[in-house]
Amino acid sequence: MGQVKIGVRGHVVKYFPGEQERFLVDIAAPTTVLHLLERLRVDHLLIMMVHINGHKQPKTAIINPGDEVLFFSPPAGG
Amino acid sequence: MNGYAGNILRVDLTNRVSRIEPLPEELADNFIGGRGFVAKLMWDEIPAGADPLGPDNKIIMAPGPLTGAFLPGAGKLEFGAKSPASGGYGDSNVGGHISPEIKQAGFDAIIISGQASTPVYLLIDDFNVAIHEAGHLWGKGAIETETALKHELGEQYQICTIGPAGENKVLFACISHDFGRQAGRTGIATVMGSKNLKAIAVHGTKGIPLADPKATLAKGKEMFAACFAKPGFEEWTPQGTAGVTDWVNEVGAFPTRNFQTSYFPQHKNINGEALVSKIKVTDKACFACPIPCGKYSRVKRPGYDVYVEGPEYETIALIGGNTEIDNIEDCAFANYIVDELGLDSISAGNVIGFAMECSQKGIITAEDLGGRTLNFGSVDDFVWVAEAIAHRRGIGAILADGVKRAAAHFGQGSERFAIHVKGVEWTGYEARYAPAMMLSYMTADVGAHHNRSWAITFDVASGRDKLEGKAKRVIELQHIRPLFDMLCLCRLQWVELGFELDWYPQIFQAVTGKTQSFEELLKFSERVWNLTRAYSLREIPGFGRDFDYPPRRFMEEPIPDGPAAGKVMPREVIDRLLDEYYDLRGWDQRGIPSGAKLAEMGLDFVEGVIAPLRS
Amino acid sequence: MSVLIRLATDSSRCSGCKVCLTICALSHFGENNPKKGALRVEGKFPVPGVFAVAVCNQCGACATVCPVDAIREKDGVYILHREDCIGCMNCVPVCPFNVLVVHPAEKAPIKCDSCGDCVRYCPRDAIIDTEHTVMRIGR
Repeated sequence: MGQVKIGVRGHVVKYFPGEQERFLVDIAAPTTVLHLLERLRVDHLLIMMVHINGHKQPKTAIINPGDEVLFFSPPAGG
Repeated sequence: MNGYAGNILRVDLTNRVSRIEPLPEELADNFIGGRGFVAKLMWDEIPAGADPLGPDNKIIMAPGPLTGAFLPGAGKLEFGAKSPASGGYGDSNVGGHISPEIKQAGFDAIIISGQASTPVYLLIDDFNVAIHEAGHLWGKGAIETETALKHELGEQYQICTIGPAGENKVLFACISHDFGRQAGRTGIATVMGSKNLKAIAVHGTKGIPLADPKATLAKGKEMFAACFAKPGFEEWTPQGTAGVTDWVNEVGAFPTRNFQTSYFPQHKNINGEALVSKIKVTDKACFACPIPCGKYSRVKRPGYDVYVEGPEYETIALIGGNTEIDNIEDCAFANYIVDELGLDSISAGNVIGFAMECSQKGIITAEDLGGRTLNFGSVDDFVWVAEAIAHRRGIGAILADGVKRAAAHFGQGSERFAIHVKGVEWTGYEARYAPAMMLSYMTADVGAHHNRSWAITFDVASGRDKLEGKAKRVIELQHIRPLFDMLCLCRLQWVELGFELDWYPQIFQAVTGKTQSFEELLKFSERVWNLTRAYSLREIPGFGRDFDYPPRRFMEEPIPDGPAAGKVMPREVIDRLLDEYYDLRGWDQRGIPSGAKLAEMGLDFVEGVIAPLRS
Repeated sequence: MSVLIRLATDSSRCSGCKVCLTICALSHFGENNPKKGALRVEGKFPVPGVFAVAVCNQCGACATVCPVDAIREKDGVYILHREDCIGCMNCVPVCPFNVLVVHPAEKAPIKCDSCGDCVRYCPRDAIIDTEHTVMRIGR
């Protein structure tokens, strides 16, 4: 049992629980990014990029208790 | 008038004279600035039915009340003119540093009219305004011209220029500034070319009046601190907008092979990581930007060694995916070529993708092309056509008028895959499986542009097969995003950082002394949206619903492969979206604003022109 | 000599945004005018595509040439007393970093007083305090 620190960057924060851009999530065991998003009821297609502990990772990557996970919104323009 | 420099500069190129007038207070009160000034001044001052490339058209440049102030992203400039591409309302904006400079010189708007008899450039040094001969610059590249003028005048000048494409009146020429930022859309550079105006150089030294300097400083500090505190403040910047490339492919919305499909298998060769690892030199910011999206790059390969700002996402999508140039170096090289020629990289990639498909289908023959074919994936072919377009050589003379007119010329069913709305080429999001995004492109006032409303995440979150709620959200975004173009701020702090919209009325109050809630500010934006619609209704015969449809490809051809395979948006779906959109806007089913809506918006002055169109 | 703040730069971090100039002018002149900022940001474009930011390190060279002693040291910081300045501009060319800024509306050149706001609000950490007294806000 442990906690994961979540950060959400950009406009998709409005689709996260409570529209919070920083929060903690309890996880009982290592899980994947995709599973974590499913638990948060966030469509993984809303997320452009994921960093775990400061490094870019695929959505299939494993998250461990104590990790810091940062979700990025897609830039809307260019 | 706090927040405003207090003056309008008028330049008459025919007679080579200029005049400084006070900024009318009611213009500032009712239309705020930037895009608002552009829309109102176009309505009032460009004679109805003016030839977009004749002396009666005017170029309007307008910063906003927050431009140049101490807050994140305060560096945008709005350009406007009657668009030679659409024949209706046209605007385009640019970042960099020229917008604050114009205000420091003392101006809230510059209105350029007439037509010079020989090439000229406009030199503004505070209130000293001069029109100089530019024969020595004519024919030079856009960035080459900026370099030459900096050399001639000094580094302290902020300069915007056109390249050969603008001179030769290519309908998708772009205005270039700060070595790689462009006001690319709707052909404002074409209007500059028609006026023989090669460049505008500005230097200003004056402060901009603030209602409350102490509050502005305090609020600005809070705003920057809030940006710094956002999750991922530092992690987004390295790739900038190019970082979205993989995601757009993941959701099946990436323009590929002239929008034949929406997924490009080689996208990882042209994404943000490829840009950073292979070609980036430095991040390059517009005025007061904490998260610079500008990536300045160098590409060195046998045969070339060039510097270019970019490629940013739109260029990657339209040059990379849409013409299938599958490596970041060649994308950057093609980007450099169109930048120097002064072609909008979005429309250029779209038009050249169209030409490649025409060649593939035998609609353009080897005979038309001086014995060659145009092939997707060939950077040589891309460069060859780009140069032909900019100089209006051979087939380039037809393509130079954009895909709508080129398709009308070529016929043979090519209009089915001429990917535009209102004569302005579609940008970097394929929308056959994104109804809100589709509606955004259809109804954007300037033509198929993403910056009025960007709604793909909304489509994903609310259900890509559902139509309910889409029109409502598109309208909300069409008021929020253009409000940034009225204040002349960059919207990326809001979109990319999640910077709260509530900040803007607070700094607006500190700078201007005016108290407006964000909702009240949005009402101004809705007023301008109705005014730009009225402008196009006045200028384009038969304008209305028929001009709000996407190309037939999107209504008739299912996407062949990728994550959105099989998706298409039939005409009845398009009609449902439009019906609801017009209802919610208070427009009739032909897309004409009702008298009640115009009155509600304080636009009674357009009613006399619009009323006869309703019957 | 011990000072509270000593400015230095890392130009490779600079993106040319001019937040430093804007906050400097606004906090010292109450004026929204980056042309009155007491530092210098330059882009070298189109080639080689780099920015250079220059700041005052309180070396005091300016003070040595001031004929009226208008630039006086206090706690390691050379303050230009604008009311004493005669506008001779002798100090301007001797500055090794070219950061005594001349503005047409000001009789006196504009000089850095090491307030540290440019360090606090540089979004890129391109301007730093080698004494670590101030850092970017939020660090």
